[in-house]
Amino acid sequence: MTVPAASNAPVAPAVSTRGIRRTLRLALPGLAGAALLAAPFGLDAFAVATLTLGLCHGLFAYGLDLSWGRAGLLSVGHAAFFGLGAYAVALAQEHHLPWTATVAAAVAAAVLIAVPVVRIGLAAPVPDAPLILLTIGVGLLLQRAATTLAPVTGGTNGLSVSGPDVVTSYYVTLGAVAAVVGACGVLLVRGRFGARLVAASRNPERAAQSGIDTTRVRTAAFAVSAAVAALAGALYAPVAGLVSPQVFGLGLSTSVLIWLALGGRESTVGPFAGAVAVTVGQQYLGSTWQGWYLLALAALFLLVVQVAPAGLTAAPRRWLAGPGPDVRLPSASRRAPYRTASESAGDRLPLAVTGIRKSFGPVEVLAGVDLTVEAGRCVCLIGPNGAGKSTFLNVVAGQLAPDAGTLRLFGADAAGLPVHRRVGLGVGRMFQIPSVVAELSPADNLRLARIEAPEPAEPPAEFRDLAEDELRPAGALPLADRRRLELAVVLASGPRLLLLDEPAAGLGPDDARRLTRELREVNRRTGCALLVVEHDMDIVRELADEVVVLAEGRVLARGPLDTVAADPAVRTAYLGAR
Amino acid sequence: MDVLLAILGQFGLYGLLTVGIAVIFAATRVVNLAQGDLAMTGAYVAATATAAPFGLRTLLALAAGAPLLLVVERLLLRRPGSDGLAAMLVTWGLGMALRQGAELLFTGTSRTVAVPVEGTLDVLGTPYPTYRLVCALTATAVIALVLLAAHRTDWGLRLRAVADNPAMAALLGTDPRRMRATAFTLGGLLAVLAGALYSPVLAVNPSMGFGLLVPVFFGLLLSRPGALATAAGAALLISTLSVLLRTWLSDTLAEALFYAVVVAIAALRSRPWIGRFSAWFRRTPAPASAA
Repeated sequence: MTVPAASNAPVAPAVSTRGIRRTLRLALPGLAGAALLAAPFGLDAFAVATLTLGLCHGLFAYGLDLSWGRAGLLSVGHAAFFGLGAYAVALAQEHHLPWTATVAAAVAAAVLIAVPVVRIGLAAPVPDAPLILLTIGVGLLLQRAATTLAPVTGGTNGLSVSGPDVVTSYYVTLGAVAAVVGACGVLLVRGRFGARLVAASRNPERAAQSGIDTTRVRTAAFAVSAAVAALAGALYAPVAGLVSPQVFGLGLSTSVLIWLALGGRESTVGPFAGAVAVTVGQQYLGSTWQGWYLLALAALFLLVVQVAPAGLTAAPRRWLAGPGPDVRLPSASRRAPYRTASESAGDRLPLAVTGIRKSFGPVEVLAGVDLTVEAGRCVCLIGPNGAGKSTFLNVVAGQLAPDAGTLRLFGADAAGLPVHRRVGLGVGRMFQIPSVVAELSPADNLRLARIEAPEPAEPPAEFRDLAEDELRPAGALPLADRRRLELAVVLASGPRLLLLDEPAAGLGPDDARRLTRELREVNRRTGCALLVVEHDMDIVRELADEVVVLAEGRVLARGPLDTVAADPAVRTAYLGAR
Repeated sequence: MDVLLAILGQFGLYGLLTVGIAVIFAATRVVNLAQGDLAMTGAYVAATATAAPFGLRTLLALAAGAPLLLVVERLLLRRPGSDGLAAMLVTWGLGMALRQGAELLFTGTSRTVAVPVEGTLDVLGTPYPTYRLVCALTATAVIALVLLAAHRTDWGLRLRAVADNPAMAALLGTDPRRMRATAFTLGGLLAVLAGALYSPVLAVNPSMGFGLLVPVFFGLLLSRPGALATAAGAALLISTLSVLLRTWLSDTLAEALFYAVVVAIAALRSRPWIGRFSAWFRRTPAPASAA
């Protein structure tokens, strides 16, 4: 076996800059924290009030980042959630209610609105358009409600809110912001959840195939994002002193997009830096220049989206993080994988299907397929184009739901299970076009797979070069290496049944042979059963214990390759001979 | 009868904007979030150039809009490698800039535009303002013209080809970049026209675009990409819904119910069985069936 040396990766940088980076990485958060704590002692009251407002805005932007940045779900009406929090505090003061109860109710309302909104969005093939629409709609609706319910909300004039003095309110805000960011950091961003979110937002297909419930992960991130926005609104109300229907408005939703886009997504510093900088500028410019300032911001936003989509703080952050791809798994999730006891697959039949049918409209693609794959066997699925091979594989993997028939995986009825649950049963899948998380390094891809694995396995020695490749994104790998990485990722979760759709497609003869050998080796060493769709008869000959011929949605023949190839019915199906 | 007339009037406005946004979406796969703000721009041209007669002002708005749209497309939307979401954000930024520019030039207060055609007309026994009828009919005629162009001319064929499969259309000799530029300009101009035509009926202010964007966006969501007739149909559905709800209920309730109904339709559409049904209806083979 030829293993390419790891030396084709970029050369590691000199030790000295690495030392500086490490020191700065440790020192900068401490310095920033100290500066924030000391700020009221060196600044006048107006500056402190501005900074407080900036922090509220920053928390709002941080909340938006959880959905737009980290979950990849753009919301252009996030002020709806912010406004809920702001009105909660204002109404508590106006009507003498306990503010803890109203704020809790606002957070609950934000979550209750956010969950159906994001569910509808995620049900669409591309979630952007429905999400944009629904978030705008929610914002407009709440604004309208706040305007018309004048006896309760004060109508267009809004409600005035009194807060503590400037310095106290600064420290209260700072403390609350630190607490929320800390909690989100530990629970959502840094740990296993953060790793899942990275995968689910970038490559939902592969994430599901690694056993991640992508819809749940992204829904949770969006819901927390809405809750954080509501908390930011609650902090904002006493600082601003007035809550009017404008807080639901698209003006504020637009502003928060600008803060986040300028500051930089997928970071903790970015949203706060963007929000504080813009807020300070806005407060210190007189009202005469306000309009021009906003116009300039719009222009800057256009420029940043075009030229530096990662935001203005991206370059220094990247430098601090050291060499490597832009996107990495959160560091805390890299520690020892989290193990859950899984029921052993034992010797149960990996796959048993009977009478599987699947139609697309009037076209019946699968017309009652019966097939079993025994443990440790390698079954190759062949057949002419349009025979239903890929459809069948999609039904087994869970991408498509069969119209009729039973499907049992390791003895469990799996016909209605989602993809990630089937992965938990021990199913691994490789796609026709290798599917890895292209933005993460190969090493991070493997780590992610091990974090999620029910029975994590160390990558075999022949994948060592990939497991140590930290420096470039997986998308930059050549096709053959991406294919090997996908295999390594799938194997890391210790599957008992591996589904492959034309694994050698697009590979040269040498790479195809090498991959075939690796697959055979995997099958021999781990006893993992293989179900392979393949056209190349050389590969089939080398791999298959058994060949199944599919034609016109039915199993035409099964047995050793030579027997099958001699079958006159198979020859007719392939060659059209009569 | 007056309800029907109101629906027709509303349809003229929403239809122009929705067909415009659908043309842009077909060719570029970008949801133009500045559509409402382009209408606002058109309305302001009609509201400020009062020296000229109204028809001339509308033409002026179109003449001013065309180069602006071409420049925007050339400068902002043509960067290679920019994905759909980035382009959508660009249009959002464009809308923001237009809004802010209008606020600087004309302040935030609403203006009214003098109605160019006075008087009322008797339509089957129902009196109705003449101008509303004129602009509803003009808008409907323009929509019909665009639909006709999309289905009866070479340009329309190419547009539909690009909407369906840009790579294939390019291989067959349609320059997708030019198609994108013309489609963006045309779609934007429809919005400008809608704004100018309807300026005497609407309150003209910098943030009027938002109110227009939402129903138009709904219309796009309910239509099928590349099929402009479905966009016009969706606009008709939306105008009917909003007019009916408004005649029966108070504004807030009507708006809330409007969102609820359209969201329900959108959510239902994404259910698998509806998808299967409509896939069968369209007789397009599902991609996964290619083994």
